[in-house]
Parts: sequence; C-alpha cells; structure tokens
Amino acid sequence: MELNEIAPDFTLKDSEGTEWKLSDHRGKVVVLLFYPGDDTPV
Amino acid sequence: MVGISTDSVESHKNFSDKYDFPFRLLSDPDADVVARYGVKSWIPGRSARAVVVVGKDGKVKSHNVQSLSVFRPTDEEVLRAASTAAEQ
Repeated sequence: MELNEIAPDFTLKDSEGTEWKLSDHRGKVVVLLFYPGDDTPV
Repeated sequence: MVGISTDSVESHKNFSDKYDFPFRLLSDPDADVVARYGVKSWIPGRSARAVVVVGKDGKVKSHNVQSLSVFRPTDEEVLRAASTAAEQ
C-alpha cells in the first residue's frame, strides 16, 4: 500500500451488527487499528 | 478510530462488553479488508497489528504494520500520525 493513494473503501459490521462504511467518514481523519484477535496477547 | 480484526461480531460484542472501549470494533471474518490493506499476520486468517491513518481526503497518510504481532506502534506514533493527517 502506497501513501497518498485512496484508501480502499469497505463496509464491515461492528459489535452490534451495525454496518460501518469507511467512505461515510470522508472529511474526518480515520484511524484504523488492525489487531490479531479479541482478548489475546498475540 | 475503529478497531478491526477477523473475529466475529459475537466475539467483538463480548470483548467490548468486557472492556467498554471508546471506539467501535469491526468484524472482518473473511480477512478481506485485512488483505486489501496489506496487514495480514503470519497466522493464517488473522490480522497483524497495524495502524492505518486515512486523511480527510480519503487517502492513506500513514501505514504502519508490525509483523511481529507482540509489538504495536506506540500511542505517540499513532497520535502523531493522526494529528499530521488532521492538519492536511
């Protein structure tokens, strides 16, 4: 992934099953924190 | 700010009920978004620890992947990347 390329848009569900779409947040800075797994140290 | 892992919606519900995070956890069960953002773990089907900052213009401003998943970017690195993006 290159800096300053358009971030790939996606829609995923949150813990309530509500859909969250990246492009709905255009105009704001969005921080995506990727992590390996809930409740694990790895 | 949102958290993303390949865990299920149900797993996220249990995890967020337990810790009451101030941000949403998103479920990427097929690791599709993980693959598109180039943040796959060496553990199959899992995400690495990574921080991606998307600017107001929808462009990638920072992309920081920790291939050894026990480490993660420091809070200072995350905040610096986010505030730099906010100024652009």
